[in-house]
Amino acid sequence: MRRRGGSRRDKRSGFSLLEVLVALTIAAMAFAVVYRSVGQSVLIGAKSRERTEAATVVRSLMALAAGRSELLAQRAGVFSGWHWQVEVRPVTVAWQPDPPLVEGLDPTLFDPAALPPLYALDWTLTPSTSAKTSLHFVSYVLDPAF
Amino acid sequence: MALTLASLLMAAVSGLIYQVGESLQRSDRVRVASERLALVEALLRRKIEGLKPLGTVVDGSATLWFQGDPDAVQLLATLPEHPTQPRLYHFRFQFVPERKQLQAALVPWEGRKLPHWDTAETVLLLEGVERVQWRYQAFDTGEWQDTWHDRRFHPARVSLSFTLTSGQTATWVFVLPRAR
Repeated sequence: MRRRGGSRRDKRSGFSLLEVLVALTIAAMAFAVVYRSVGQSVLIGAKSRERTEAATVVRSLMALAAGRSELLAQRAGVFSGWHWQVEVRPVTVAWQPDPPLVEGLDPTLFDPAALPPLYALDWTLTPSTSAKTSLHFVSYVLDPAF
Repeated sequence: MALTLASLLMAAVSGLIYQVGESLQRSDRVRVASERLALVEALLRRKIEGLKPLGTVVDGSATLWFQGDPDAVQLLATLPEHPTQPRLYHFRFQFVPERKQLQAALVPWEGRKLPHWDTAETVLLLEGVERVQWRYQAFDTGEWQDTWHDRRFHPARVSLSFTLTSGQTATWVFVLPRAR
């Protein structure tokens, strides 16, 4: 008799298989959400790494073009595993502040004609391994031929 | 049937936990490697692109502290980043193939004395480097060459191409003040 009663108590205090299944399903769903967010975080990390690498490519291309105005005429190419394209556009800078920054200062000091022309370079970089990602950068140069 | 389902769910959850851990570790390794590359590129750019025409006089003629070889480049530059002795240093950025490392060797500048590289302080720049190739562009001809032993002028540009053991390759180009 005592043994039978004890066994009944054991049954009441444990989890049923259905309860375990429900708990596991909830846990699996929670982990799916965590996994998705980890996936997003990994993706952001990879994009950030790509962007860092592309920025070094742009700096190297700028170093190759420095002091050589003819290179600004070249608009596309491949460098260090990246396809690059560049659009060159002149930038107008307002050099004469109104009112003057310093009262009594000679305004001809801000003569735009005395300054070399400024260009904006719009870069588009695509990794050679995948054409899906395109990264954009803007850099500025003074006309080296001035 | 229910027991099988429970076991399958348990296995799936364990697999997910493992995958999450692996992904995080892999992502972390990639992030650290990428940050390291960016730091090294920035350091080399500061040292090479900010190079001053510093030299000494040998046999009556001015001799620049600059020498380039396919696996190493030597130059004289300041190191304000040094934790204890920020000053002028002879640098040698060199590839050590037996360790698969790109290292910086530093010797404090002592006037006209030639640097003693056997007493140099070495700093690890990159690990897991399979191949390194330094190249130098002549200012007048624009041609790229594997060595630079002209002690009168700096090259116009310096490039560093390397391959990592992971298979990643990159080329960095630095422009010297003379060519800007």
